[in-house]
Amino acid sequence: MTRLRRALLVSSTACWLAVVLVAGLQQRLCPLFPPAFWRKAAHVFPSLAFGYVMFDRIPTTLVYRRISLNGRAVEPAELDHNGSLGYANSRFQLNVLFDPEYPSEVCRYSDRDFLIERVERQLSQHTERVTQRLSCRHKQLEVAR
Amino acid sequence: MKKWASPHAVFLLRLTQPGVQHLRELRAFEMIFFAGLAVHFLPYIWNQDRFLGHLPTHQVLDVGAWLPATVPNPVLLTLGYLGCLVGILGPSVRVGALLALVAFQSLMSRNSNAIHTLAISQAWNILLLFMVGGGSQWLGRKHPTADVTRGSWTRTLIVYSTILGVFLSALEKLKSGWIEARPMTTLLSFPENHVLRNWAVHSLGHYARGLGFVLTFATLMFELFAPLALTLTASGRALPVLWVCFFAAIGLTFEVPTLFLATYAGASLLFCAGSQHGRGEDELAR
Repeated sequence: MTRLRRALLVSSTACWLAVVLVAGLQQRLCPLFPPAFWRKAAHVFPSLAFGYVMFDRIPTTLVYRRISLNGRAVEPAELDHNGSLGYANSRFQLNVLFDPEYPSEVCRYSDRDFLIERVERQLSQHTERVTQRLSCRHKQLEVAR
Repeated sequence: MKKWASPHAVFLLRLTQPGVQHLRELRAFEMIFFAGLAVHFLPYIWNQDRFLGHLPTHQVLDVGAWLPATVPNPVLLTLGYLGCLVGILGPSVRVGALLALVAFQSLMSRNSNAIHTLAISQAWNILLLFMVGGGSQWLGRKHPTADVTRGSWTRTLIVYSTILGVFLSALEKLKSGWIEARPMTTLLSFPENHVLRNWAVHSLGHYARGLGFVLTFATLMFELFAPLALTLTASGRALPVLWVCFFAAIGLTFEVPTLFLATYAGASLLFCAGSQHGRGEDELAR
């Protein structure tokens, strides 16, 4: 029992040090590997998803202007049941910001058709760059400029 | 004549000093932390189709799963919540932490991108620290004053881990050009239903330019200097209170996970022990 306890203590300490070090160095390690690697790694070690800071990539773009469901404006939380209690809108925005494929994933899971007026613009200069209409119909996402 | 004691040594001594009050603080933190963890993983219960990888998405889902699919998700959920319950009630925080870590980590290693947040990193740190040092074990004893040394190192390491996390995030912000980019101005400029809570959009959005500059600077200064001030000055209760206010303001203004607030703001309960004037100075100076 003592040996088991000691093994548990040593392995927990080693894991803790590894978690702290890798989370601390995550932003430094990030450029060394492709994004696909980090997506897979974040599944294995969730602490690698963001490290210690969420906004190392500072959001400078607005990612959507209006989301409609049957012609009615809704908030993302109503559309995207992403399971983020109390921060569903924020999670949707960050997911879209960091992963442009995210709306198609939402569409695939959604049982209702919806429309997203997507805008990418630099808020600091107020210059619009990209405007898209993402239309989800029968779990298929259509993009129109 | 009393010898001089370095402020950091005093802080460390206060933290590691045994005492019933310290145990109560650790117990309170355990309850807040495990409750935050339980809330964070609640969506797994009613939203399994979305999170647990029945359908393939553009991302690889099954690579890296910690446990094979033969271990069903409801079993993992039950184990995870049993761990949280044990942690909240407190008969054995070490066992609770082990159960919660294994179960929730296994669930997250399946499909759970929406639940990944930066708070997970700190939560995993704390669970591992509970496994290493144990918790307060408050409920398991008939006479709480019998062993007041229990949990003092756990408390100390959680404090240092939290302080380090905040300090490192400030360094990362500096490196990513936080001041030049003024991200708070950008965040305050977002319309409704983005990262800002709607009341903040209506109340603060008009002052995005000026307020954004102030908040960008203030956030960085707080994250850089509050950890240093906590460990190097005898600040009493002022800094722990300021610490809570900082994270409460974030939680009120921005949509952030409950787990983030439970881990970072909750840890201020433990700072109080290190910031209080007590026997620490006297013992060091002797």
